[in-house]
This record gives sequence, C-alpha cells and structure tokens, in this order.
Amino acid sequence: MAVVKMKKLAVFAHERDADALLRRLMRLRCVELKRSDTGEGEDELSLIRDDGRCAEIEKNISRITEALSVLSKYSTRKKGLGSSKVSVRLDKFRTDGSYARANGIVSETLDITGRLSAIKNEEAKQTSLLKSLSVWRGYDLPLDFEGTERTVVVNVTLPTSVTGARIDDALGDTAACAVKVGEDKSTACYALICHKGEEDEAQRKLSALGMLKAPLDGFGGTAAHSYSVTKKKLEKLEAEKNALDERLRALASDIELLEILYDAEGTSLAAERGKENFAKTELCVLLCGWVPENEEKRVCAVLSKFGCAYEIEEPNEDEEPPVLLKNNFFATTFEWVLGMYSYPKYGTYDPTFIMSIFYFIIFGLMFADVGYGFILTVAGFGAILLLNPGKGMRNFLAMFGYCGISSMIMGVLFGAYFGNLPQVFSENMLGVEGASLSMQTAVLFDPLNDPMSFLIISLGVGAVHMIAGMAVQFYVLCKKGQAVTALCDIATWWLTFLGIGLAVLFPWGIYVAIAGVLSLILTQGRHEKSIIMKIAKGVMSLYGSINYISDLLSYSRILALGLAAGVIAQVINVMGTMGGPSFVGFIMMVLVFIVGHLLNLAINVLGTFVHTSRLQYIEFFGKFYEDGGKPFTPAVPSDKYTTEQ
Amino acid sequence: MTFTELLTQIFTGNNLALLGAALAVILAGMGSAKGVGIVGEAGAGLLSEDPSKFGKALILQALPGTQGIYGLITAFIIILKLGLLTGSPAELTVPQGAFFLMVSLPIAIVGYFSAIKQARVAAAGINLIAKRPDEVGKAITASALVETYAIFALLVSLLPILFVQV
Repeated sequence: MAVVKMKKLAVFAHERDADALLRRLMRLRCVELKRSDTGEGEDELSLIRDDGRCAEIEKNISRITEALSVLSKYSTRKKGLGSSKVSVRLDKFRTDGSYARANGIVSETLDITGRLSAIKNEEAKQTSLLKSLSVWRGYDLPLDFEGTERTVVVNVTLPTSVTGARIDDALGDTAACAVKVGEDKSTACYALICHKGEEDEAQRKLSALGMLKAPLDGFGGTAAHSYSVTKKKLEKLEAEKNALDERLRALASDIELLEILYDAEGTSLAAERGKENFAKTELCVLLCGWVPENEEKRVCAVLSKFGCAYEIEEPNEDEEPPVLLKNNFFATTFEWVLGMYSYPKYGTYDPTFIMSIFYFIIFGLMFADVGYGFILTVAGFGAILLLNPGKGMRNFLAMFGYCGISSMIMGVLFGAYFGNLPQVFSENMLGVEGASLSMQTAVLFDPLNDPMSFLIISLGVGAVHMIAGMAVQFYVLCKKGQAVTALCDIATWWLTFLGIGLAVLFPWGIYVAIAGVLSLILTQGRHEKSIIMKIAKGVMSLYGSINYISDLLSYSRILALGLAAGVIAQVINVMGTMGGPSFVGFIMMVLVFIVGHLLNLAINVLGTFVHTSRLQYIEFFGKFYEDGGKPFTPAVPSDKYTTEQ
Repeated sequence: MTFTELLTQIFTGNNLALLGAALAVILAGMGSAKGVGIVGEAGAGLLSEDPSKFGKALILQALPGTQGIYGLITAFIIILKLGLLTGSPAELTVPQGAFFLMVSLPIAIVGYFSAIKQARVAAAGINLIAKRPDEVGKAITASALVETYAIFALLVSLLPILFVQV
C-alpha cells in the first residue's frame, strides 16, 4: 500500500549495443524511458531522429494483422478456453530463419487473398454470362452471324407473355420474321430475320412489345459452344479456388508462427519508439529512464553485462517521477478505480488499501442480494479462469468478483435473495398464504420494512468512511512534521463529532461537543494577526460543519440505491409469478426471471459502481488526496500472443 | 349527477394516490427518456468516428436513465400500498390519497429536471472521451454528481410512503 520509490537512470552504451540493450531492458519490464536530456549548447549530443523505420514496421504489422485474420478462419487449431500463451525467444526467432519464413507466409497469404477476391469477381461475371447464354443454347447459328447477302439477322429477346401471333401482327407487312430459339421463365429468345433495309423498321415495331437486343456482343461460334467454354472457365476457376483454399489451409497450420511474428514486430516497434528518446554522440547513445527502487538490482545486473557506463540516483526536487502502486492481492484489483480518478502524486499516500475495504463494504450495502452477488462473483472469477484475460481486465473482473462476495454477505444479513423471491415464490407458486408478509429471510432486518435502521447504518458507514479519510490526512500531516496543524485542523473536528455523538446517548455529551466547538473557535484563526480576526475566523470555521453534514447525508444514497435494486427485483418477482402454479405459469416465470433479473443486475451494477466510486472520489478523497500522478509505463515487449522466455 | 358529484367520484382517495404514482412515472420517465436521448445523440456522433468507444459511450448514456427507475420505484411502492396487486385494494380517504400525491412530487419534478441536466453533463462527457478516452471516470463522476439530487428526492418521496399505514 504504497507509492513505489523511483530512481533516475542514465546509461551510456555503445551504439552497436543499443538495440540489444533496449530489448533486454524491455524484457525486464521495469524501465520507463524518458527523453534524454541533451543539455543546452552541447552540440555533440543530439536526439535520435525517426528514420522511417517506425512507419515501415507499422505497415508490416497491419499486413500481419490482415493475414492473421484470414488464416484464423482456416485454422483447425482448437482455441481452448484458458489456453496459455506460447513461450518464445524472439532473438532466436529473428535469426534462425523463422522470421523470414513467417514474413513469406504473410506475403503468400495476402497474395492468395488478392487472387481469391479476383477469382470471386471473375466467377460472378462468368456465372451471369452463363445464365444469359443458357437460353440461347438451342440456336444453331453462330452468335455473331449477321445475315446473308439479302437478309439481316438480329438476336433479340421478348417477354414470354408475347405470343407468336402478336409478333406476327406487330410485324405486319414488314419483310421480317421472328424465329423462337429458346425461352426461360421470363424471357424468350428470337432470331429476327429481316430483309436487308427493313431491320430498323422491324425492330421499331417490336420495341413496342418490349423487345430488347440480346446482350451477346463479343461471342463467336454457336451458343452451345460459348456455353461450354464459359462452363469450362468456371470449372477452372473453381479448381483454382479450391487449390488456393487448400494452400491457405496448409498455411494456417503455421498460424502460430505469424502470431510470434506479430509480437516480434510489435516489440521492434516499441523498441524503435523507445529509441526516439535516446540521445547520441558519434559512437555512444544515452538512455534515460525511471526504475522502481526494488528493481534496481536486476537492472544493474543487465547493464553491467553489457558493459555500459551507468548512473542511478534519487530524483531531483523539481522532477516528477512516474507513479507505480504496490498493494496486496486484494487491493491491487482496486487500483484501476483509483486510476479512473487520478493516480496519487509521487511521494504522497497511496489510499488503495483503505479505499478497497470501504469499496467492498459500501458496494455490498448498496447492492445487498445473495442471488445477484453470486452471479457477479461467478461471472467475475469465471471469466478470469476461462478467458485468461490480460492484467488490466483481470483486475477489473476480480474486483467485481470480490464485490459480489460482499453483496452475498450483505444479502444474507438483510435477507435479499433475488429481492423477495423466496417469499413471492412460496406465496404464489407453492400456495403458502401470506408468506410475502410473514416469511423472514433476513438475519438483521429487511430494509424495505425498516428503512430507518438501514439509513442509520448507511450514515454510520459514511461517518466511519469520512473519519478514516480525515485520519489519513492526520497521518500524512504528522509524517510531514506538521503535527500541530493535524491537531488543530482535524482533532478539533473529531472532538466536536464525538461530543455530538455522545450527546445523543448521554446528556453530559453536550459539554464535550461544546469543548470541541470552543477548540475550533480558538484554533482556526491562528494564522490571523489581530485577536479580533482570530476569533472571527474561528467562528467562521464552524461554517465548515455544513460541508461535513452534506458529505454525511450524501451517504443516504446507499439506502436509496439499495431500495432501488430490491424494489425492481420485487416488481420482476411479482410479474414472473403472476401465472400461478401451472406449467405455463412456470415457463413464464423462468423467462421473466431470466430477462428481468439480468436487466436489473446490469442496471444496478452500473449504478452501484458509479455511486460507490463517487463516494470514494468526493467524500473520501476530498479529505486528503493529492492527485496528479503520472502512471508508470515501462517499455515492454508486445505480448498479445506470446511470452518471452 | 351534478358536477360536484362527478368530481367527488373522480377524486377519490385511491385515485389521488394513483395520480401521484402516475406523475412519478410520467415526469421522471419523460426526463430520463429525454436525457438518455440527448446523450445517445451525442454518443452516435462519437461512434461514427470511433466505434471502439461504444462501451464508454453506453455507460454515459445509461446514467440519466436512473431517474425514470426512481419514478418507477415510487409508483410501485404506492401501488403495493394500495393493495392493487393483491386483489384487495385499500379504501383511502381523500386526505390519505392527497398524502401520496404530495410525497410523489419530489421524485416526479426533481427527477424530470435532474435527468435532463445530468444528460447535458454526460453529453459533454462524450466530447471529453472523444479526445481523451482514458478520462471516462471523470466524465462519469461529473455526471453522477447531478444525480445526487434525484437520489435525495427519491428518499424524501420513498421514506414517508414506506412509513405510512393505510
């Protein structure tokens, strides 16, 4: 439960070692690079310029991503749930020929993909040709036959609804005749044979019946011949497609190689980006960064192995080191809640552990329900076991898993099992008269029957939460050597609160409260010069109690949100059991429960999460927190698919 | 039947209480519908640029939806108290009915306005996460501050209803 101390690192390394050294440091995962200080006016030091390597690698990564998405469709590899990442050595991968092979696979895959999409276009084109040719198969003149010495032949189509008699009628005395050569469902094909010079007249007359010229330009030979040629083309395309599919399937067996390549290139990209922070002379590079104090030894060992000149020192006053938090297994999962607000400033107090305890309790109180808590816990921890997510996601899921446990505990205390499901179920489905009123499931009491007691518990937890925040401030001040400030600004309020609390129980408590108020009046004006201002400022400080009261009342939301979850669950239970104890009623109940309770769970997890966080951010952090820390982001290798040995 | 008789038949104790329940659902629901709509429109603009922010936009969009739920809860408790779901409705006197009407006003009115105001903060939060997706926590917190007053209104509406005997 602390902000880890950071040390400043400066390394001079030979330029030819720079890449290997950086990659080794990245594997340690504990060095955050920062822009090297080139100093002012020292012209022999300059920052390394980006020479286009980054853009090149990025381009390759996007090619690899594309190839991976293609091959994953062909891969027969079973992606078992919870499968672990492959462990590799990237330097070996780069040198033993696998790198070139993997890049070859990427190129081939992309080439094949390009060819496949060309085949697909060609196939569509040929298929539509085949369709238009198939009607003409009965026509035994060549399709490009234009007529004899005296006649002109035009290939036309007409709707099938037009009969031969109507065509003859329409042609009338024009010297032309239409010979039907074939038809399908909607169109009939005709060879329109006209006397030379009459073809325009004949076509004009038939246009009125819906005649169109057949789309057969560019075909030679008979239709039957063209048909079989096209068919063969299609078969050839199909065969080529199958061969390419087969090839892709073969390539997909090496998909693991591509995944390693992806991480190798991702690591290279990270390294190149990291190098942009280096400064260099002719032969040396200067690497600057931050190292957590507890990792110092590991880093030094690596640096000595490379024979670098290095220096590790405490950060200067005016520098702001990045912030790394260190907590136990439970509180670690809550660090992201802190991150959503802002990390604590470097060197200040890390409240994650205390916050996590209150988060746990308040979440449970707001969302007290055994059923919902159980779902949350199973979903949270189940997802971790089955999906093997990354570190951030793992913490996110685990936190909700823990919060589910809290909901279950509170659910037992306040008797909520999917709201009032036991009561409603016994009354409406089992026929126990009056069960919804008489049946008690709560160990303590039911908040719906006794909201006042629950409100008192809510405010009580709030008071403890706020006092804990003040205690942290007290501790921080004392540590800074400002014990007097701590006593005057915090202990006086505690005395006042204690007095008010005692006054409720014992009549003499009022004197303690008065003592507290007097201590406030006497101490709060201590920075003023004149005695009148001292007193005036002291009295004015009592106005601060408004802040504490409004903060305290803010905790009444625990009751409101708790009731909200419970009442909606009741609505669902009543709706679900309306069908009564019959088969249909039972089916309806199951459906309504699944949809309704999941919806209620989703709405209330969001609401509870938001408002529990708010109570931490405003009511708790407001008492002491110094925000504005920059999270520690060490240079790391890419590890989407693999882990480095 | 005289007009006065008609009025006394319409404004019975039970109907006054139901009017309160209806107002809680109608006004708070209208506010939430409008609010969720406002944030949804802002969110759609963001998603057209970057669909991967859907999760964050969805959380912000859901925030002004709670007021409608608070209205529903208040209405549901009133309906439970009236015994309308158990088949043996209570017979409320006019003052008793007026009591329910009065106490449902806080969540009805505050619910309506706070949902819309909260939605405007959340819509501004959409602009925030468009530029800085990591700051979604701050956008949520800023929007949740507005909801505090809807929660207070809910408490003031709910506590008297839970305590009163009919």
